[in-house]
Amino acid sequence: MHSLFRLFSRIILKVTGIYVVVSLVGILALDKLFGGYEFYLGMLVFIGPLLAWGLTFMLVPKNLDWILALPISKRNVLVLHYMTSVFASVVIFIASLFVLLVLAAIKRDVHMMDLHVSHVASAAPAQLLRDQLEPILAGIDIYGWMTGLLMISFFHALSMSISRPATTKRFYLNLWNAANPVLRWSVRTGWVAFIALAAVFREYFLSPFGIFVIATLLFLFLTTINTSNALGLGRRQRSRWMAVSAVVAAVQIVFLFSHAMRGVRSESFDRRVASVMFLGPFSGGMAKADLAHLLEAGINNERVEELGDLYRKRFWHRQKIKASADFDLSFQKAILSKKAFPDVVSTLRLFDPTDLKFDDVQAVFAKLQPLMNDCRCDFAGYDLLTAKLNPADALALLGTHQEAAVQFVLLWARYHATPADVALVAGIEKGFGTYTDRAKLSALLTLSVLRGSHVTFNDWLTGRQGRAVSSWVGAPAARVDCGVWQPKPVAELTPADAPALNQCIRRRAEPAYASEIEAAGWIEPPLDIKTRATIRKVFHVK
Amino acid sequence: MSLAIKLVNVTRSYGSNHALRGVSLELEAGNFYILLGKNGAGKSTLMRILMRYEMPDSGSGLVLGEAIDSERDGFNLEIGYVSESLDYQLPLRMSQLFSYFAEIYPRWDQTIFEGILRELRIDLNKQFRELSRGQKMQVAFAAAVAIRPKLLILDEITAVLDANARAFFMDYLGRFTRQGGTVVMATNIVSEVQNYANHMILMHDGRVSLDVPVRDLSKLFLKIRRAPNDQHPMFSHAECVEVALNSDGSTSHIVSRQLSATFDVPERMHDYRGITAEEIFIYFTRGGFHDQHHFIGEVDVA
Repeated sequence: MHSLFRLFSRIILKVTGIYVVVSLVGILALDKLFGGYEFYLGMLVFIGPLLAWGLTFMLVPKNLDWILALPISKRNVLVLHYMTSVFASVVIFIASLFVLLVLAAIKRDVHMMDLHVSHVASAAPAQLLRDQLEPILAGIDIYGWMTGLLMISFFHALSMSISRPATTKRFYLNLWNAANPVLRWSVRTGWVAFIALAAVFREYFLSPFGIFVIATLLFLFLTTINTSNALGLGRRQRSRWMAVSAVVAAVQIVFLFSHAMRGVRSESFDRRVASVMFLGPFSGGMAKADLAHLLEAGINNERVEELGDLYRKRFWHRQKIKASADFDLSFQKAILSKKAFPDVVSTLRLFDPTDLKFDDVQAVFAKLQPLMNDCRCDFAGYDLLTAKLNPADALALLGTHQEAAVQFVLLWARYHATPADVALVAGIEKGFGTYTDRAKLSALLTLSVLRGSHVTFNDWLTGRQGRAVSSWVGAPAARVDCGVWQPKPVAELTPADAPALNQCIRRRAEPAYASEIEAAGWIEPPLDIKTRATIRKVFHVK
Repeated sequence: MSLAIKLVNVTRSYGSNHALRGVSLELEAGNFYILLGKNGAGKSTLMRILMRYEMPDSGSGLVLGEAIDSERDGFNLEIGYVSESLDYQLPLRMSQLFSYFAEIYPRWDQTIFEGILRELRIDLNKQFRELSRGQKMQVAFAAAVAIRPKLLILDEITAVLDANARAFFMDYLGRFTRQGGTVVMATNIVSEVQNYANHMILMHDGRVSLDVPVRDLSKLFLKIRRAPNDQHPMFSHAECVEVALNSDGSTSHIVSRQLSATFDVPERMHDYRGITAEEIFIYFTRGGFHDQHHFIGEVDVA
């Protein structure tokens, strides 16, 4: 074995030498011709490992026939392959670093060797740095272990993998046509059973831990089967190898599971979140109240979505959470604890909006307004359109003078207010002068819908000079009973249909169509293609 | 004489395909065995089991005194193996590559290796991949004999060799067995080998159908000649198999001595030319023989 290893290392070193020369010359030449030397340098990250694996599989597996004829045991053939693989990876890694350093020196690229972390650490207060790093480290704690173990398993599997395609194909064909009827039917139906199980328990299979278990088992078992088959092991030896692989896989799985379960019960909030996210439904020991507590904390939007999905799957049959019916999770706490605009929006989307009351909606806007100012984000309000609000609530929200709340009330009024809601209309009119330009346009659209005719900015100015727009409310054009109003086919709609069309399309539309309808603005024939399509979808007309 | 190979009831299956169905063999050292059989008869599987490339499902065996399921490093130290599948896929000149063989095999004889390649005019400074199929086989053969083996296992090597190389190898193998070495050669080209081999093993459907010294073939089989218009009832029997067409228009047939005894075969029908291994191979492959264990052990090999 030692002689063969020396023979193979000689080839590895020779190829590595060529790799170093070609990389140096190639990168410099490409940089000279086309520029972008950092890109070519980055390619080494892919080329290096590929070359290492290419070399590894060029040596023992490709020469297996004559190696097996040598006086070397099969165990040592495997050891030889493993050593070759490790040696090739290490040598090529060192060679890649060497290329990197030489090129950095040639290009005088000091930046490449600059450790920014030290600057950040010295510039930032220690506490701030700890606060920033803690959630990351907590995440790395469990996911880092998972990635690390998977990488080890993957490397181990590749290093162990000796395959002869013809033998492998024959092996699986033989398994498919096994003489033993129990084995044959297990193989033939096993994959169907696996897919069925995966479909039924997909939350288990698709959780990070589930994926880890499957990947680990696949890496180790497939490789063991493949390699023992290529080496022509006897049943006894193969069983022994399989048992070793099973033990290796079991140790990894048990270690990671116990580590994650310790995390679930950890004092550290971030570690608990990371562990629950990692285990998914396997974290069955975690109480609903604990999960709710996590959702009520200042977690970011990605975690809100992951954790929220888990919560909804386990306790709400995948439905949206009804805030009034969940006694463990407080909607307002969950909203008010969030630190950024997308976190609040993600949290809001976990809940059933039809179950939200005025206080809840008010809490949302109280939280959103300052965050929107920070990030200059826009909240369209469609998610709250079906909340349990009445005109008085809307008027109260309008009175907060928060831009987000005002915009929402103007939107809400188009869908739920009627021309008879004089107080609300008057409230909208009264605040008009204080609105932002966007809110003014939105208010004009709301007044148009309620009035039954398109109110332009000029109309408004004229109205201010003459009669208040609210006095139009209740005019004949505004009186439409959307319950009985039946639209004509789109092609037959005329401008005279506009008042009813604008009110009723909003009354009868599913909330999902709200953004399309609002994009159309005041709807009056002749209509563009998009608006026609929207009308057809809402009213189911030709 | 000592046994070079002993197999007891060895079986090997690939799914529902039974490649070997209880093969038992005792091969003595110093003999040249040819292993014959149709494609799929189990020859290569047997060779691979002898070389420990595969393990049997059941049964046991010894090769040069070492168990066939041995996991010891030195198992193949005195076994030379040549097969068409051997391919040294390394980017090295052969002189560099085989210099490592001297370290691996303590009995490696560089003189033998270089001598054979010189004889066959193969340049050691070339890489293995640059050679033709026949030349690759010649190099593999030279490497197999340079380890100074006690047993040579050769799997279908004659098909790709030219006449000169074939003659060289056969001559070499003849000398090898005379010096006490054992050769087991699986082949389908019997004519080239039959003059050198002194024992014939015929496999059929995963079993050994015939295991006899070549010189004893005439004790088991009768060769008869059929004139163009001969209507003797023997010739209509399924186990009377035509094996050759003669220049005078007559045909040669092989029949077992056992069967011929049940018919009245006149002296004029006897073909006194010796029965060749090739004719026996044809006899078997054309289905002239059905009772698969019939001949094993009937002949006193000693």
